[in-house]
Amino acid sequence: MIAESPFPQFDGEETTHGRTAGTGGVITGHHAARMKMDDRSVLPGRERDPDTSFDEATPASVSTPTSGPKRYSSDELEALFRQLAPVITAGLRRAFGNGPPDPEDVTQLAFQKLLERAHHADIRSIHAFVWRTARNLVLKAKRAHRVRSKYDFEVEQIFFPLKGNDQPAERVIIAREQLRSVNAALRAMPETRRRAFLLHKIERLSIADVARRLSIGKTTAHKHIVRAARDIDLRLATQENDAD
Amino acid sequence: MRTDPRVSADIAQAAHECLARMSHPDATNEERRAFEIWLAADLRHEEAYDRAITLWAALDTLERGDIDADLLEPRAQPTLW
Repeated sequence: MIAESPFPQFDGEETTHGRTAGTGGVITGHHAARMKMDDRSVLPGRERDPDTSFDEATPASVSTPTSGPKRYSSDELEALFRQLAPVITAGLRRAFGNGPPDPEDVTQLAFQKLLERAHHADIRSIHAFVWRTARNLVLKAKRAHRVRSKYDFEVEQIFFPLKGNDQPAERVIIAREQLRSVNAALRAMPETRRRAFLLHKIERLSIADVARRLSIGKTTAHKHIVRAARDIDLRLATQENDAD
Repeated sequence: MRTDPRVSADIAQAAHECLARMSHPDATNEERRAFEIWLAADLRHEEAYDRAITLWAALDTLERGDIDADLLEPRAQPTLW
């Protein structure tokens, strides 16, 4: 069946982390495919806790990100660009061919949009942002041929309007509805799944700590969290469909 | 256009699993190839994968105040940690 994951549900495999890469690592391959999940979002006003990584606590010996809200220096942004640009460009090429518009130009432009922002989130969010922006730029250029996907919303438009104070009222209302969907999805899911997800995303526990707290295996804890994200995804999709 | 919700759920599940797997530093080349094949097999796969990336990043912005109080764990005692 085509919808199945190409992986055997990552069963029987302990999700141990050997290392983590900072922003200096070389990333190749499909967009996001090799992004490290270690770096948590750093939003203004939010403390960063390097121990609450997606998977496993980051070994202390490896350079851990600094605390507090982050604004990347121009050097770091350049490193980010070198790291992410080939991935984004390759993704654009795969999705839309060689253009026009030229995939490399689009990637440049998408990074330009990133620079225009007042602050930066973590590398994972940046990747999503740049990819999303690049994709939207291509779609815009191809508007004559393509219809914007209903899923084609930007990461910034989910929940974010509630975090800022200069958002149009309409965006805030939509974000509130999204949060209601998130809560509805959480309410509907089995208790262990909900607890695992909340411990990870809200209490910022690492997968290992979530597993310990719930007295379950790490792989199981991981699965619960992935399923919870899936549930929320589907609930939000339903909301979007209803809004159509 | 309405799509079969069962298929959507399966694809969403697969996309989130792929994302979790591909984000793991220990993912093997074989897994990456399997993933690329899966991704290219169906446009809906790619759409679901993009969506999973986006959502996962967005979920990181959730805070206690965003979640209904009755769903949250009681606050952990600071002395326990």
